[in-house]
This record gives sequence, structure tokens and C-alpha cells, in this order.
Amino acid sequence: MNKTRFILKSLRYYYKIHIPHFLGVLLCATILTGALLVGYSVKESLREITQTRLGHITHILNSGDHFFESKLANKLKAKLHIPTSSSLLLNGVVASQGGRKRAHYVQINGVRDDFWKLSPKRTVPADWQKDSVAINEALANYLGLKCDDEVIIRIEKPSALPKDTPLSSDSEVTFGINVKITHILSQGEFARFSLKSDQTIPFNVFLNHDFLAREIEKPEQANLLLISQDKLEQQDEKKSFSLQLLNALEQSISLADRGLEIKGDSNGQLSLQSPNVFLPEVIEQLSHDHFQKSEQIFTYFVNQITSGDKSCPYSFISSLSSLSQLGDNEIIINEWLAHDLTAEVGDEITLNYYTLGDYRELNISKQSFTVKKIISNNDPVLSRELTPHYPGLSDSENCSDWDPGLPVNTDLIRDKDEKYWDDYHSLPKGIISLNQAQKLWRNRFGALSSLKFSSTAWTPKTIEHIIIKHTKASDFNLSFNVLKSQAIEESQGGVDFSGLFIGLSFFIIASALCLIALLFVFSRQFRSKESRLLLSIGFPKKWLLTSALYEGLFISVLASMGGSCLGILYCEFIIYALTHTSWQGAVGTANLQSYYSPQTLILGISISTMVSFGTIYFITKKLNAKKVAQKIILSPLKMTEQKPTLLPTILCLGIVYVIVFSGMAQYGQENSALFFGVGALHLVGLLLLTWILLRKYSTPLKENHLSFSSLGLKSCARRPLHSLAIIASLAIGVFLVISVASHQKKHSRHSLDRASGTGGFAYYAESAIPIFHNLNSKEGRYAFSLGENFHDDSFVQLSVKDGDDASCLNLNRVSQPRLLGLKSESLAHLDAFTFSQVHDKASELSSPWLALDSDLGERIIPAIGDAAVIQWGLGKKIGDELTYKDAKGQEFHIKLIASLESSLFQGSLLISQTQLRKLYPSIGGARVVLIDHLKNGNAPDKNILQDRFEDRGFNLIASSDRLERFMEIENTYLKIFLALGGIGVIIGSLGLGIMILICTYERRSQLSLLKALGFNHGHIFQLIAKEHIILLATGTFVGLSSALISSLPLLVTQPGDFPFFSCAIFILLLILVGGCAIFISSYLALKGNILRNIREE
Amino acid sequence: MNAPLLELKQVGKIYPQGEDQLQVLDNINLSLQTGEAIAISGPSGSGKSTLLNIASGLDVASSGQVIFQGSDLSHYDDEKLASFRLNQIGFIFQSHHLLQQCSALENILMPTIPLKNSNNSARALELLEIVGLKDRSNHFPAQLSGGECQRVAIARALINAPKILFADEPTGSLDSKRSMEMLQLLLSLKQSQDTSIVLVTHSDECAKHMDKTYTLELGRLQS
Repeated sequence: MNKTRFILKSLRYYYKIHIPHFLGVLLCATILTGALLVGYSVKESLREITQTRLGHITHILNSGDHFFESKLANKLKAKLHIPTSSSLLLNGVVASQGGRKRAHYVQINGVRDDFWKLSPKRTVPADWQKDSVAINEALANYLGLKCDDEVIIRIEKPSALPKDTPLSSDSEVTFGINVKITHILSQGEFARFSLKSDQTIPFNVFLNHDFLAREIEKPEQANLLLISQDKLEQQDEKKSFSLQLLNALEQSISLADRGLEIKGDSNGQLSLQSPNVFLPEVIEQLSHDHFQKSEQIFTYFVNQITSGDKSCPYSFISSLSSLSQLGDNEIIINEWLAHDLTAEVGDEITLNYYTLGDYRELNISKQSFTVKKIISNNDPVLSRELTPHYPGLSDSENCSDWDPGLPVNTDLIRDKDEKYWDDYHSLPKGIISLNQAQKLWRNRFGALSSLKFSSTAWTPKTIEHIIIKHTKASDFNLSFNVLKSQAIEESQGGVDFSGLFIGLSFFIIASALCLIALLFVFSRQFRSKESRLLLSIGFPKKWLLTSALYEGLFISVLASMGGSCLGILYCEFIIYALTHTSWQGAVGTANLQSYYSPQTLILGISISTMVSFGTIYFITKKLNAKKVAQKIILSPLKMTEQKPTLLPTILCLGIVYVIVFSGMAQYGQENSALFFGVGALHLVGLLLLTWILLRKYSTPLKENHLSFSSLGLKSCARRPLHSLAIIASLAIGVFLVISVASHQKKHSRHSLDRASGTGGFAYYAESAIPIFHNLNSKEGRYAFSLGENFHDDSFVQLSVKDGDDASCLNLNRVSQPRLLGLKSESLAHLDAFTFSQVHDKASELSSPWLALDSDLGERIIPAIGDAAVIQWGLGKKIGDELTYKDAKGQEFHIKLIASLESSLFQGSLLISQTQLRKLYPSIGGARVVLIDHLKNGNAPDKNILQDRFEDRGFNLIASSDRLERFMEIENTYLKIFLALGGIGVIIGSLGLGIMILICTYERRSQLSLLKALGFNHGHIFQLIAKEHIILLATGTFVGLSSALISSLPLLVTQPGDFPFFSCAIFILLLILVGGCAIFISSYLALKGNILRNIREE
Repeated sequence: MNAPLLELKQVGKIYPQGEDQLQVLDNINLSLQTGEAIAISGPSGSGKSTLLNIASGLDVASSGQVIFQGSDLSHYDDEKLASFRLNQIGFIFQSHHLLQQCSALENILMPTIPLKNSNNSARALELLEIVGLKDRSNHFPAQLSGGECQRVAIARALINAPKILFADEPTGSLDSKRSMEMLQLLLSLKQSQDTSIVLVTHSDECAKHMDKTYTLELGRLQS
């Protein structure tokens, strides 16, 4: 016989005692491993989703509103010998059934065959033709579409001029294409294609690239360039490739890709222009540094030129860098104008012109000049080529055909004006200094309309060469993102579902560990005679300790291994619940799958072994703390020496009742946390009181009368700390489950409160296509037939810079959330929303909203976000910064200066609209609109609003509903906690049954004695059952009463929202299961011949 | 002559041991009159405790009858046997078997619980005084010596005024002086309570104080 044999023999002999212990560890291991597998499954699912949506794409160039030549992809392919593809990516709306059903936020993709080669399957869809139209299953299911169905796709029409410039035409912002569906794509065929880190499935339409390009009048152009280089493994290789890609791009992009063109004019000069009318800022800089000998030209369209009581409508005025001698207040006019205004040199003339405000707001300004010189209409200084091509103007045959987007009163156009247009077309009528022109008319799109070069000194090639040499692709919104690796990183860095489910399953794990501890104690006590014998023989205490630990370790390892297998089932259950039940609200997708890895299983086994063995180790150490002599002599049923004192009990309960009954704290939702603490204190106080009472019952009774109940109480008090442990675990479980249930967030559906999460707004709307009008103006309301029932500030419009959704609906960890550009005073004067935290400097202002306009330094932009987004979505806090790149690819930083409490803006960050437009000039219009209540206080008719904006793909939702959606996530997590916590507490009550079996076995000699004394079976059953019913009832009462105290704010202010029904079901279930466990276990424990024990004494 | 209070007629007890059988008691005949004290002695393993268990209803005979006041105990169900043990007999075990969580007084009152008799506290105190532990009523077994615990066990056995007191080597764990004191106590109680006594003992000194002595040897009873 050696130690190992002794341990193995003991394990075999005492196997019945070890079974409950084994089951406890099994349960613990199941939950722990299952939770780890859930976390792994979610991460792998998100990784798989990323792979599915990006296929073999590793890098992208997304130029948004800026279009480049499609052949850029072929150039890069030739240089780098890797798969590439250029395509079109636009936002649109898809309507079916004659427009009755609509899908908003549809990605409209114009693709070529090489696009499909980057898909997960790397295959072109079968029978893909030039006129094929594919949609994904999500869109098909949403609109109820199948192949051969016809749909209308409505797309924002790209325009040369940004749409919220005054000269941009406001007609035909969108246009529709009728198509017939030919394919419905599956996941492997890029059905899920999306550039956003999001687990939700987007709506996708795929058309032939050339067809779409023609429709949007951008033939042979693209705005998306996709690269596939997924053969590289090492970081160094990937970095090196990124540099290669950048170099290849710089070498490959043409003038056209940069949005530039060089034309010859009638004077034989070369002109550098842009189809977008204005030359980008980088060219302006280049003109100073490298094109000093060129002529910088800025030509603008003015409403009116007046001199005295004479006026001339709608004219072009130019400015030239070569006329440096012209003062800022001087003007050279042509003969025609001089004659029209009867102006002479030295006379004062005034220019009236529009400047751009927000949302196509036109501000009329004027500036006066002194006539310095009058030149001939044919003077070489003046030419038509000075005026860039203005859409809606330059192509018109007559003035009356003008459609420039400005309000043009054709009644003001005279015959002579028509004649001027016929003879001279867009020839400027005057010239001012370039400096003055740029001061007056500079806008975010530029401050030059062209550069002129002498053809003797310059050739197109030399001009192009200088531009290529001294600019970067990123200056023209052409830069690559390493999309795939960033996306994978974001998919892995999101919500930690392992930790989350370990937390949510906390009660099950705690119940299991409590059971393990108690069962192990009983097993050791059951074998105390054996221990005393071994010690009396002379075995060292350490020998006994290590034997016990080895037994415990053996059980822990075996049960953990078994538990990890069961953990797979637990994981399957959780994943099923997350994707097929109301728990789906926590993940926002049905596309999660179970994944397993040996490493996760081994980790689960290791953790559960450590946790369960750690519990056993701790208990064993405590049990073995007595001296050897004491262990031999003393009965194991030694009374505890710990004595509770009254003072802490009085203190705890006193504080509680003072707070509750004195009215010190208001019963409002704002004091929820305080009352939770009060409830917890009440719980502690009652447990201390219970301990005192248990100690009291362990002393002799004063009345010298013994009954079943008093004997039951004495039996509970036999081991006060054990009984207290059972009561406490039940009480804590009941307290937490009910308190948490009562703290589920609810939002008042009809809240007009400005301070609430809705800001007092009736609706929150997002459009697929921007709205360029100011909806608070007459013109804006007229454009959308909105009527007169709105206030002057009924609409708050926000511009959007697309990014990832940082709300709790997105499981990925995003690094660049969507940005919303806001005019701060629009919310400041309404005092809308409530701030949970405000940075010091922002708190000094009258409204934290105004801090969005504060200057934080070079390239640092203040931002406000939802508190949940900042903390959970981004993992940041107030004062932290995020790094973005602007339209030119230059970095800037967003600094978080304030957070909002549970608001509509979850998922995005808010910055100043001015800053947003400065950083991303091409972003125009608003795609998010907050809509207020009408003058009469009612919410506007949703259907009418939806109808008015249907061309923009308007998605309107009641503000309270949007907020509910976000709260639903939190409430879903709480529901999961309640379900799992409830199961944990009920397992704890089942544990009572196991306890009875163990206790009865341990006390068999006592029970045998009672039977010998004449107690019948019923008496003994009654005794055991009453003892444990006391424990169950006490635990339930302590937990329930404390939970009700913690829920007082809700019970007093909104009793209807307290979950009475579910709490009642929970308590009833607890009592039922606990009661059944007690009765069944009592019955089983007393089966067989109890008297045998005393006979065998 | 009055009918015996308790009578054992051709009682036998066999324990199965695998394929064999062990006959512990064989054709035991015994009768006990009211107020009579008998001693049963014999070597270790002779079946004395088995005989006591059968006579007191703690065990069931393999053959024969146990008749108490004319009723055959073998016809009693569990309920009736429990009632028999509660109301008619008292049992003193070799080891005192006191409940550790109850005081001396509470241990004595233990058999009164099923009877829901709340008036026995006076009797319990009286019994405590008789066994000489009046001042130790609130002491727990861990605070009493072995002999004191045994005395509490005696008092417990007598709380319901049993007709028969069964004692299985009650002095086994006591020294000779304490043993004699214990025996004197039992005999005085026999006199005062008119209780019959069946005493299993090794001690000839104890046995000779009984009205009758039987010897159990090889499963057979000899007077």
C-alpha cells in the first residue's frame, strides 16, 4: 500500500460521496467552458462574416464623390501582378411593386467580371451578362423579390459641382433606373459585400459597371478600387506591400484621376481646369510654388452689377493673377458693361452676388469697386475661356434656358443680355484683383477656376509632370486603406462574449462553487473518523492534506473534462438562443454559428479545474487548520467559535430604514443606484440578524419545551455558518435577480421632454441620398411640400461622414465611428438632450453643445458622443482622442469633450458641421434629420413625411422607438442575466436537496436514535423537511425583502413597470423547486432501514 | 401468576452471509414479569445485543414470537412499533447517543416530542435530579463526562414512564465504582417506577443484583 493506492482506493470506496461533488464541478465546468466557447464562436462568426463580406479584398481605395478612370485598376494590376478591380459604389433606394415597398440604404454596385474574382468563391455568377442585375437574399426577402421581378433603383446623381453650391442645379438630384432581377446571390458570391465593420447584412444590388457608369454620366469612371493581396502572412511583408501599392498608385494616377484636365484655348494657351469647376487647394498651392509663371484665374457668377440707378443682371466677373497692379477695390470693365451702365473710369460700381450658406442657403452680399479702366470686348485679356464650365449655364443656348441652381429671375433678362450671350456667351464683363476675388468668393471647394499657361513655355506633359511630382494621390482623395486586416482586427476586438457570459452565468457558477465547497466539507467530515484514526496512528497532517487534495484534484480534472464536453452543448444552446429567440436583440443578427477549438476547450478545462480545485484547496486548508491533537480528540461537530455582534446589524438596518422612511432620498429613477445600495445593505443586515438568531437557537431553550419546529431550528443552528451560507446564497441570488429585473430601462413613449434621450423630437430620420435644402426655410419646405404647420426650427439637419456604427448594435470594435456634422446652436438653444459627463472647458459654456465650435488646437476637433458608445463601443473616456483621415488623407484627431445620456445619436460622434465640411468638402446636404412636433404639439404624420422624401430614401422612425431599440440591447442582456441568474438560483435551491441527502447520511446515527426512541418515519421526515424549509424560506424572505427595497424608486414612481409577474413566477418556481428538492431528498434519505445503524453500534 | 409482561417464544435470528447463514439466536424462550429485573450475560459475540434489539422491537426475529402484553410484535407495522418504543419501553445504549446540539434537559425531553406533551418538563427535571445532574440541565454533551452523559441517557429512557427498561451494557464505559452507582440507580428506579429491567452485562457483580440471570451461549439461552 502506498499513497497513490490509498487515494485510488478511497476514491473508489467513497464514490457515492464524490458523485455530488463531481456533479458540482461538472456544472461549473459546463458553464465556464460553454461561456468561453460562446465568446470564441462570436469572434469566429464575426471573422467569418468579415471574410464573407470582403472576400479576397485586402485593400480598398474609396474616393466617394470623386471619380477616377476605371483603367487605374489595370495599371496597378500590370505593375503589381495582383488581382484588382475598379467598380462603382453608390447609395440608393430600391422600390418594388410599383413603389409600394421600398428598401433604403441599398448599396448600388457597378461591377465588372474582375470584381467577382475577388469574391469568396472567386467565381463570376453563372450566366452573368452585361444586362444582368443581381441582388442579395436579404434584399430579396425584404422586398419579396425573385428573379425576373422588376424594380426601380433610385440613385443620387453625381454632379460636377457639389450639390450644395449655389450654382449646382437642384433638379434631378436623384434619378431612377428600371431593371429586371436576373440573379439572387448567395453568401459566397459577395451577397454580403460591404465596406462597413458590421455583422448585419446590407442590401446589395449589382449591375454591370459600364451600364451604371453610363446612367450616371460617368463613362469609364469608378469610385472604388479593390486590391487583393492575401498571400502575405508576415507583418513586414504586408507593410512592404502597402508601400509598394502606394508607390504604384502615385505612378499610375493620371490628371483625369486627379479630376483635372488640360485644354488648349483659342489663343493657343493651355488651361488647367477641373470638371468640378473649382481647382483643388493643392493646385492653388502648386501655382504659388511651381507655376509662378502661370495665370491664376478665378471667375464667378454675380447676380447684378449696378452703377447709380443702372443695373446689369447675371454676369461673369473674372480675376487674373497677372493684373497685380489692380487694387483690391478696383475693377476693369468691358465696353459693353460700361455702355450698359453708362459708367466711366473713376465711377463706382457695385457687384451683388450670392455666397454659399448651409443647405443651399444663399446669402446676398455686395462689394463696390472703382472703375480703373474700360477695355474692348475683344481685348486679349478677356476671353470666354476665363469662365469655367458651369453646369446649367455654359451649355445653354439662351439666357432663358439657364438652370444654374441659383434663383434666376428671367424677367430681369433683357434683350441686350440675350444678345450679349449670343455674341459673347460667358465672356466676363469685368476683372477684379485675384486677391479680392478669393477673399469674396473662396469656398470649401476651392478658390481658383483655372490656370493658364503660355504654350511657348509649357507643354501639357511638363504641366502634368510637375503636378505628378509635387502632389500626392491622397491630395485628391485617392488613398488606400488596409481594409481586411483592420476589419479582422475590429471583428476580434469587439464585445467579449466570453467574459459577458461568464458574468451573466455568474450565479450558476457561484451556486456550483458553493455546492462544491459544502459537499467537500461534508465529505471530509464524513471521513473525519478515518482522519482521526490516521492521525492517532501517526500519519502527518500534511499527508492527510495532500491526499485529500489529490482526491479533489482528480475529481476536478475528470469533471472538468466532462464539463467541457457538456460545455459544447451549452454553447449550442446559447448560440441558438442568441439567433432564434428574443435574445437576438443582444446581437442584432441571426448569423452567428458555433465554433470550437481545442485551445478553447483546454482553456475551459484548465480554468474550471483551477476554480474548483482552488475552492477545494481553500476549504481543505481551513479544515486542516486545527492542531493534530485537537483533531484526534474533538468531535467534528464542534461549535463554531465565531460570534456575531449586534452592532453591525443595528447599523445596517438602521441606515436602511432611516433612508427609506425619512424621505432623505427622493424616489426617482435618478436614485436607482442609491436604492440598489440600500437594498444590498438591507440584505447584509438581515443576514447578520439571521446569524444572531441561529446562534440564539444553538443555546438551551428557555421555556424547556421542545417541539418539531424548535428542534428543526436547533438543527439549523447546529452549524450556524453552514446554514447561513445556504441562506445567503439563496438570498443574494433572489436579491440580484429581482433587483436587476426591476432596473430594466424603459422609455416613456410619448416623451416631449427635451432632456430625455429623444431630445423632445418626434422623429429621427436617415436618408440614403442627402437633402440639400434647408427644411426650416420657406424654399426648403416648398421644395418638399411640407406645409406651414412646422416651427421655424422644426428640423435639425446633420451632415454625415460615413463610418462604422459604434452603437451597441455592432458587435465589432470600431475605430472610426460615423461622424455627424451639426450646427451647435440648433440644439443649444433648445437645451436638448442630457449630458452625462462634460469636459471642464465645455462645462464653462452656457451649453455644452457650443463646445463643438471651440478651438482645441491644430487638427484637433471637439466631438460629443453617446456615453454608451464612448465607453462600450469605443472603449474610451472623455478627453480621449480618435484618429481619422480627412479627404486629403491627412490625419486629424477627434477629441471627446462630452457624453450624452442614452440618446438617439448612439453609434455616431457629433462634431461641428463647419469642421466636417472643412475636412470633407465633398460632403454636402444632410442625411440625418431630427423632426420636431408641430405647432399644435402633435407629431407630424409619418406617412406624409415618408412620402415627401421618398426619392431620398427617407427612413423615418419615432424617436422613442429608436431609443427603445438601443435600450433593447441592454434590456436583452438583463433578460439573459435574469434567465441564467434565475437558473443559478434554482440550482442553488436544488442544492438544498443534495444537502439534505448528505446531512441525513451524516446524521444517520442521530436519526437512528430518534427512530429507536419511538419517532416514526413521518416524525423524522417532518423534522428534516422543516429544518430545510426554514433555510429556504429565510433565504427567500431576506432576498425578496431586500430586492423590494432596492426597487422602491420604481415601485413608487412607476409601479406599472415593475415586473410583478416575472418576479412572482421566479419566486414560485424557486419555492416549488426548492420545496420539491427538500421533500424528495428527505424521502430518499429516509429510505431503507434507519434502525440498522443503531443496531450495529 | 400474572401473565408475563414480555415473552419471547422460540425466537431465532439468522443473518445471511453470502451463501451461508449465521444463526445468532436459536430457540430463545424468555418471559419477563412486571417489575422484574433480569440480566443477560454471555461472552462477546454471543448475541446478547441482538436478543435485546429483538425484544425491544428494534429488530425483527427470523423465527418465533415476541409477545408484549399479549400482542405479538411481529404483527406490528412500523407505526405501531414506533409507538411501542415511544410509550412502552426505554432503551439505554452502550454509548449514550445524546444529541450534541441539545442540552442535557433537552436530550431528556427528546422522546416527548412525538407525544406533543408540553407538561413533561417537570418530570424531566425530576429525573435529572434523580440521576444527580440537577445543576447540569443546560450543559451540552460536550461539557459532560462519559458517566454523566450515560446518566442523562438513563433519564431520557425513563421520561415516558416505560414499562420495560432495556439496558445494553450501560456500564460498559464506566469504572467499577460508577458502574455500581449506575446499577443502584437502575434498581432504585425499578422500585420507585415499578419498571421491569432487562440488562445485558458482562459483569457478574451487576448480574447478581438482578432478580434472574440468563446466560447466552452459542445462541441459546440458559438460566
